[in-house]
Amino acid sequence: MLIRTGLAILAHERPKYAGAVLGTAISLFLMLLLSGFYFGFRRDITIVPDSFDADLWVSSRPLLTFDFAAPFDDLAWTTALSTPGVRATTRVVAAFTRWRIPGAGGMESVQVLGFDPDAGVRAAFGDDVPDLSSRMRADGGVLIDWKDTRSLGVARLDEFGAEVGGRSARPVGWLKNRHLFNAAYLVVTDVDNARRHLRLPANAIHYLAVKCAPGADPAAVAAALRERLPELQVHEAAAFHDLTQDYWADRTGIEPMLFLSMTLSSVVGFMTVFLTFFLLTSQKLSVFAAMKALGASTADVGVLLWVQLAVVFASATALAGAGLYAAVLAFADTPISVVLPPPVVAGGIGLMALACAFACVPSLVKVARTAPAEAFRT
Amino acid sequence: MNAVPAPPLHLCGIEKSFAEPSGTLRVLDGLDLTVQQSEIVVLQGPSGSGKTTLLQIAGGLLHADAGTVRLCDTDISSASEADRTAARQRHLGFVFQHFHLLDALTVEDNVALGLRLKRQPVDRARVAEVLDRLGIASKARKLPRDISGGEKQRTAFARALVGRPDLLLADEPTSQLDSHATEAITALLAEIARSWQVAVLVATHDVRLHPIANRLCRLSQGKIDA
Repeated sequence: MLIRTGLAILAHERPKYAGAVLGTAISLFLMLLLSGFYFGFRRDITIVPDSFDADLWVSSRPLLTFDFAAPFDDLAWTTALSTPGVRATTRVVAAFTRWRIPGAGGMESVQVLGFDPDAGVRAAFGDDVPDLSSRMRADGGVLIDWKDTRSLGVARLDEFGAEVGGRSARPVGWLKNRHLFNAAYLVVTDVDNARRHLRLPANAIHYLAVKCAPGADPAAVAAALRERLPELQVHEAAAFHDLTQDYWADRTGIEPMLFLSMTLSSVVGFMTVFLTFFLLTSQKLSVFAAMKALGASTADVGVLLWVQLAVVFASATALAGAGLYAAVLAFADTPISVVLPPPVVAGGIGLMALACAFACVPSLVKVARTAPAEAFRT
Repeated sequence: MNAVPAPPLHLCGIEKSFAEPSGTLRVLDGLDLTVQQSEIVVLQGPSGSGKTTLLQIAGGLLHADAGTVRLCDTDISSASEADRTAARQRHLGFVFQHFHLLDALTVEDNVALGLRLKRQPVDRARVAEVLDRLGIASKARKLPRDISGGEKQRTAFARALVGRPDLLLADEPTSQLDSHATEAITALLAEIARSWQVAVLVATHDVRLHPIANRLCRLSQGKIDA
């Protein structure tokens, strides 16, 4: 009944409500952007192991995180391949070294990842690079992320002059969105090239990534591998993912910091909406009382407030959405990852909607408690 | 034989006290008052004599400690909140000292709100008619901030009258107006009561309203000295 009246009040007092819209939009924008950083950070922590379509991982023991593994003899590769239930396995080398920037001679930290591209375990690195396998096998052939080209001082494919671990390297293809969460850049090559760049013995590897045969139970295959490789550690893929993610989340403190920031931005949004509505309601109490005296129920006045809240929230969500879209575009060319899964966006918007609804409750209580007789007071 | 219609307002034995730090303040003490159709009753008395309290009780906005309040054929003294609201919607119109118009709505929409709040369909022809009768048709599209105090009070009267109430309760309707506007409102009130057959109970200090009163009631010691 009073929907049009609510909208008219909103339009009439738009400067005041614009403040509420802006405050809510900024809070929602911050909350979602920080969530994007958080999920981007979590994705990038495990982006390397998660890019392998492996069911199991074999490593030396003990292992704290994917990034710091001790090497072991690749004789285990043939043992793993002959284990019942194993369809394919690839040798993986992963360690940090230095990249010498061509021309300038400066140094950058890189994580070298080497694997067998034709071993039968799919790995999502440079999928769109033609003739990927032979390019990776070429002496010094490496893949780097297109976002990192400027930092690593390369502008085109096959550019000479770079060195990895003191050995000549040249980019043979670009990776897409395979950026590490830390200060190092990812360099991908085949396992033999990687050993040379990392100065590892010719039989050393850090991992075996194992793909089980169709229908095979990964837990049973893991048990069989543990029996055949008792000196090594066998991880199921999900546990391996969690091991690395938990390690970095705990060690860096970034996770609680981003979580706290998200929470604080929600609180700011809540307070903005709460104060705006409470103050605007307080200013109009005598008018609301007069409306009640003239026959309006508390529900009528409540509808009026809810309509205003819905418009403020919808406008704020649209504004925040536009801002977020612009921010995601702006961050696309930077090393910072913004990852916003649809459930997170829906959850963020839902949470802010809930905060707005709660912020409106004191105003509704005030209206409900206002007696129509208040209209007779000044 | 036609039944005699019940008077728009009948108050009988109304008592009302308020607790104060210094003790109980008895404001109304067995007050009786009846307002007939088309009758204008002007209620006067010093500040604190209970004029506004009486209006609030008559309008079903405040419970009396004792006594009966009848609005037309409805006894609202012991009715539930919902029933009293319904009785207000059916029978009453209010005009307040401070107008209480919605700043965001035009004059015409403020008046139409009077119908909406009474759960009546918004009849734009009726709204235009009332605005015309109150002499503010030319201000229909204006916002309250763009009209004078007198025009605001006319708008408040229009909002109260658009739903065809049986009884109009007005609290100090001229206290915010200059003498010219007061004169106009006074004439309007007399004309409305007569032609629209509305009973009017006005609480006021303003002696300029006395000439149009069918009855002057002085509130003293919680009772009416007619």
